[in-house]
Amino acid sequence: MKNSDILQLKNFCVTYNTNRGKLCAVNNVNLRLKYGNTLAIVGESGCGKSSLAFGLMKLFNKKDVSISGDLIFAGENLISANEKKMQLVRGKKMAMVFQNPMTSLNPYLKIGTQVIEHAQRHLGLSKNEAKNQAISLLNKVGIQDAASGVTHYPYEFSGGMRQRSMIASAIACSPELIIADEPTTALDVTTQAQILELLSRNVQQNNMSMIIITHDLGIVSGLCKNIVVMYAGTIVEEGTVYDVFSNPKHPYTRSLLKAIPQVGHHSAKKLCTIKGKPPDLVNYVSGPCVFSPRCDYSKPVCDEKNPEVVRCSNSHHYRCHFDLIPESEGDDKNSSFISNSSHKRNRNIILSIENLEISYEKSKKRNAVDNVSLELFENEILGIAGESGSGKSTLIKGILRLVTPASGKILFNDKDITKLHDNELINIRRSIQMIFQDPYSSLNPRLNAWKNIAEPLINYENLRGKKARIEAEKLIEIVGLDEHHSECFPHEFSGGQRQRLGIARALAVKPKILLCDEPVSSLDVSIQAQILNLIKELHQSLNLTLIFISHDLSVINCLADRVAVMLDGKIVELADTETLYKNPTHKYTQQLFSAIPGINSFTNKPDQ
Amino acid sequence: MSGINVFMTKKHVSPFFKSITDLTKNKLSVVGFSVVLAVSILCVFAPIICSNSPTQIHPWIGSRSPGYQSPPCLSENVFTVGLSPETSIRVLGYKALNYTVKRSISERLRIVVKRGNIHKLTLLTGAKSLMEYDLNSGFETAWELNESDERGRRLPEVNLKIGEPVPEGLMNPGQRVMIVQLIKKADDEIIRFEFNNEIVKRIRRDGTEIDKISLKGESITSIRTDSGNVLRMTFLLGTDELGRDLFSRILYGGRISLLIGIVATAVSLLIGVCYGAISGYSGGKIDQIMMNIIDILYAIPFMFLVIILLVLFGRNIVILFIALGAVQWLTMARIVRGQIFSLKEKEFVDAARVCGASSKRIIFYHLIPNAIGPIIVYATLTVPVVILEESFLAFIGLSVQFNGQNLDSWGSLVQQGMLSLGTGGERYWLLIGPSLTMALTLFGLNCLGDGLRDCFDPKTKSNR
Ligand SMILES: Nc1ncnc2c1ncn2[C@@H]1O[C@H](COP(=O)(O)OP(=O)(O)OP(=O)(O)O)[C@@H](O)[C@H]1O
Ligand code: SF4
Ligand SMILES: [Mg+2]
Repeated sequence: MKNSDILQLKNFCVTYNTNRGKLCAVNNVNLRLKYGNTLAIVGESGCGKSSLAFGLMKLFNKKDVSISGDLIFAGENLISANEKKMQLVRGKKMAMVFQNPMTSLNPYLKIGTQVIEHAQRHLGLSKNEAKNQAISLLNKVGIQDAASGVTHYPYEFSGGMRQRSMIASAIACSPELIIADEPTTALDVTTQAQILELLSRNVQQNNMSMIIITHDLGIVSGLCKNIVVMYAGTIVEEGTVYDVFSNPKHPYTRSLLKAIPQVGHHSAKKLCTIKGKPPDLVNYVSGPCVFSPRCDYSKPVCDEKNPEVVRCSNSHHYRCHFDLIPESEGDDKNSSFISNSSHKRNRNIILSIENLEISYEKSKKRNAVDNVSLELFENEILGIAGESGSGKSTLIKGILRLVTPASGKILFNDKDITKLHDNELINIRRSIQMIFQDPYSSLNPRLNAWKNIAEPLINYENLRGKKARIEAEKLIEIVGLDEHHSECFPHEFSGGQRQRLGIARALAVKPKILLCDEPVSSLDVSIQAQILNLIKELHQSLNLTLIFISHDLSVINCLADRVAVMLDGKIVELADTETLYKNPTHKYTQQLFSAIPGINSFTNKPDQ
Repeated sequence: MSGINVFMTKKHVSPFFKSITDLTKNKLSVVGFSVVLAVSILCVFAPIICSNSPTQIHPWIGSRSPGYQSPPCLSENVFTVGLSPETSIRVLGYKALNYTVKRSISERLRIVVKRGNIHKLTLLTGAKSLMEYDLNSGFETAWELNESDERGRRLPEVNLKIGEPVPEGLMNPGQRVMIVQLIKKADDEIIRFEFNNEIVKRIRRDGTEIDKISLKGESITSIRTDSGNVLRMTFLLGTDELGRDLFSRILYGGRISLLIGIVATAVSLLIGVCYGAISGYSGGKIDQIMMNIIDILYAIPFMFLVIILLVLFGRNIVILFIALGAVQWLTMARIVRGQIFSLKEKEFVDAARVCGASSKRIIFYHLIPNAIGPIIVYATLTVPVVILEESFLAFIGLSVQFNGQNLDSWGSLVQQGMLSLGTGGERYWLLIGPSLTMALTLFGLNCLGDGLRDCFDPKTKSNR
């Protein structure tokens, strides 16, 4: 039993019938998963990871999506199983944890009811049994006071608690396979670590198998034995985590690994990026290597025929024409930034915050920003780290007076921003601009690119029509997009491109200070690296002062000169990046560090 | 160069047009849209489409069932002296008319005059004296033609004398009929009638005068002539008791109904969108007060108010526009307020503020265009509601007027249909015709609204 496969896919395809044509989201995938093993599926957004997961559960409507190939689960081929059969399998033998705990729970049902819903149906529990079962499940996933927890509604739970409840519901029937589709993407680092720990503990205890889907390579190493790298619907590399991370064979895997900012060495190096974006899979015909347009190693042969699967060890396979030698650190062809440590030492205070307090009407109990004092030096990058809800965004919104501070001072150019009139405020906002967190909502979807960017030009500089457009197009080029993009609407851009537009808009009126509110948190690693490089470049060429918020310490590490750590609205630690990383003093900071998924442990050989 | 061209040809569809193109893929809304479009086209082009006037009565026809064809008879044209001709010949705003005489048997000029004392009516040249010939004896107005084009049965009409009242039920009580026999036979040529205050001239194409009639006596208002065309009127949907063509009445009624629907909706849009947007964007106290005002207004029985307004200020169409629009804006304001309220939490609004946009600009440039979907959907669904409300008013007898004239909308047609249904429902078509048209249009509008709702639903629109 132990050595047989719980899941085996042969030539598995998932095809969406869209109105533009057939979209082959999963293309001829062959995969095996042994009992009790965990498998990670990684890849950029849109590479077909979720489609694969949904395909395994056959959660698709037959009309819009066709599934083909062999899907052998626990010795049974489910490919032609009907809906009724699948309902027996789902929940009982295969369970799923979804990406967004905010939307995957029904807001109108009590937590207890939802946790035990399928179990009750599959196991035929009585009402009382079900309740007890639900309580013990919630206990198991670490929800304190589970007895009252079952009577709560989802809105009374935080994101982490909801995800715990989702896991509880997934393990309720002790399924043989758990599929977790980006279970922690919507959560902050500390919660993420807890949830992952919880998942792996439960999987091990109950001897289940797990497929975990993620675009975050960092969380894979401690958690999984095997990894599958997907690109454009195909598996480009698979093997044990150790093999793949220590000796990545496929160029795509390599680029993904290199794009991750590393904690520990504050580097003046540019992050590696992958040019371009994943291909459009509509009416895709197999032929050349799918990765070829973005591949640094591409040779003419790559455009001619599709590479075969190469086996370099029993379990390690990849799909590439070439056998690349392992790269040493030295032959990195990416350029470095000019070291800026010399003029960084310039210590003019440009903005100072004194005892700032901000509270929201809704939750009067607690200040979102609580007695924060901070000084910002000219031309530095100040990183602010902290988990979600710690008041990072509120702080910089306070600086721009997008929310009104309750008390305290913000001094800029000898003026107190908190006391300014609206018309004076305009001048302040002109010199302090902001890049927003979510590139999908920070651009007006009804305006095309140049109109979005021209907004500050129109309002501050009174430029109109053609002039505004010319200026906007210049900015579009500065942030690395093409002139022809100026007519496109936001929905035609990818997340990274949108974030570039957001940056262009912030730079339009040549601000002195740029506030960045988690500008990369919703982007893939490869894109994240591009944006981080861009921000760093602009910082140097335009002499900007930056406040950079992120919940990801590794990102902050690669940018910031100084780091402030926030917890519950207070700054608990503020130090030079290097000092902070070398010896964090506050307990919370240490906790944050230990919560960073162990990228450093890539090369540690896992105990087999 | 080629690279540039590729991008020149690539169209950048705005999300709005994307939604609209999605609409074409939604069966329901395509059906709805086609129905609405068809009805609107029919109504707008009613003057071209309808061969019969909606107001012209044909007493001798009376109420006939759908598809009725009148027996062939000599057609008539009615000119109003000093005014533009009313029907049949579509020339508006001219005092002169082109007029073709096709057959020579029709050398008659019927003159219909308003009741009153006619002192003298003379054909000046080229015709026998009117007095001599007609007025004392009276004449029939129309003949049926039989197969061989000979005069058949005389259509009922009585002999008339000056000063004598018209027998009831035959014609408009205010009209008299005179028939004038022209002496000269017209060839197949185009002749123009020209009206000056009191003189009717027949003029050849080249401008030479054939004859003229002087109408002395202040009360002549219209002149009716037999054109000589053999006319067979077809009444697609039948006629009402006065012999008016129901089909054209429905189309002309549709113009009124749709006009009211659209204008009142526009009024509600204007007020509702501004009010809702301001309320939603301001938030806090202002929002609360503005919404409370709406709650209070909701409590007022508005139909009642509209009825009182109409009774007090007359049933003028303009008042109706305002009154109905003023009822509808409440819901519109609420919808827009809700939209704006959630939209303003989006980061692009903060971004706009950071970009220095004024509140006015944020509301009208950034927020409202983003709420355009629900606004359009609701507006589309308001039109049928307004049409129904107007019909209700018309049904209880408060049909709209303009310049003191009754404007028959679908509602009043339904009402008239009800009244003249007959005891056993014999004249069912008078009720069914307008009701069905109205129902069809309302159905179409609702389908369209639902389809639009689907298309603007953010869930169906992928962002990737
Ligand atoms: N319901 C759908 N209809 C049509 N196409 C779809 C649908 N869902 C996904 N796709 C397409 O299928 C491809 C794979 O999408 P999928 O969601 O599986 O990627 P993913 O790797 O899970 O990405 P992410 O990291 O963003 O979750 C993409 O090109 C996507 O646009
Ligand atoms: S086959 Fe060629 S293009 Fe494809 S990944 Fe390998 S080197 Fe790159
Ligand atoms: Mg996904």
